[in-house]
Amino acid sequence: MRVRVRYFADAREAARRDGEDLDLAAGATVKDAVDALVRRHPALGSIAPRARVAVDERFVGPDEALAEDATLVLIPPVGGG
Amino acid sequence: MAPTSDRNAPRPGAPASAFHVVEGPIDADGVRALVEHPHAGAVIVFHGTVRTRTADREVTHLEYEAYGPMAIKQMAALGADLVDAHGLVAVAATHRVGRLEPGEAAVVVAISAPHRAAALAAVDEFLVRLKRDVPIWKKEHFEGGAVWIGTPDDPQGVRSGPPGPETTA
Repeated sequence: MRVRVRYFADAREAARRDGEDLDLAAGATVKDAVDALVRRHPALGSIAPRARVAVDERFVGPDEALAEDATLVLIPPVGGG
Repeated sequence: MAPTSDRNAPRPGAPASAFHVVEGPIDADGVRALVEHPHAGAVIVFHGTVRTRTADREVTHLEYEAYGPMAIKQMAALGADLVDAHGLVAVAATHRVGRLEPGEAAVVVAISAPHRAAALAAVDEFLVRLKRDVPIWKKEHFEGGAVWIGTPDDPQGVRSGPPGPETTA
């Protein structure tokens, strides 16, 4: 199963890219994906615990199951306005 | 006989089309126009502007980044919530991204309501929730460095809810 990952703000700087694809086992959850991303980019290790996660433009919890082609985004603390 | 007033005019509410993320200066009159309505007895147009800080360092400029499609969805959902909760006529907002200089507007929020109290309260609530739930990030640039607001590198501390004083709004 492949999901698309996009990075913003300090997560983008830590991962040194705007996005990438991530291959996961069928049935993988949001937590599985985030753990895999932190293994791939250790600099995300300090960011992931503070970040929320959005899948297909909606905030989701760590146990949410991912679907093929989903777009997953780490949402570090926001600061609009 | 049909009333000649606006009684049957549709309420604009907070459609997704009233929320935008833009890369250039915000057309505040355009945001205001989205909430004008004959049922409105109050129209509030809030400008959140970039300011330099006097406390511990001088901000040279800000850099905003957005997850645009989700930011628009979240602002629209927030606007719809406020319409319901406060009995508003309409909500519209535009947030700017990219580099902003002191004095420039980062966000313009327009809210109309039958009476001012609801509109004023809703403006504040919109901003509080914008800073919590809308995927827009701010990097503060100052002499000698830059920091993403809300991160541990932010000298104002990690934010876990409403914003600290470093925010523009």
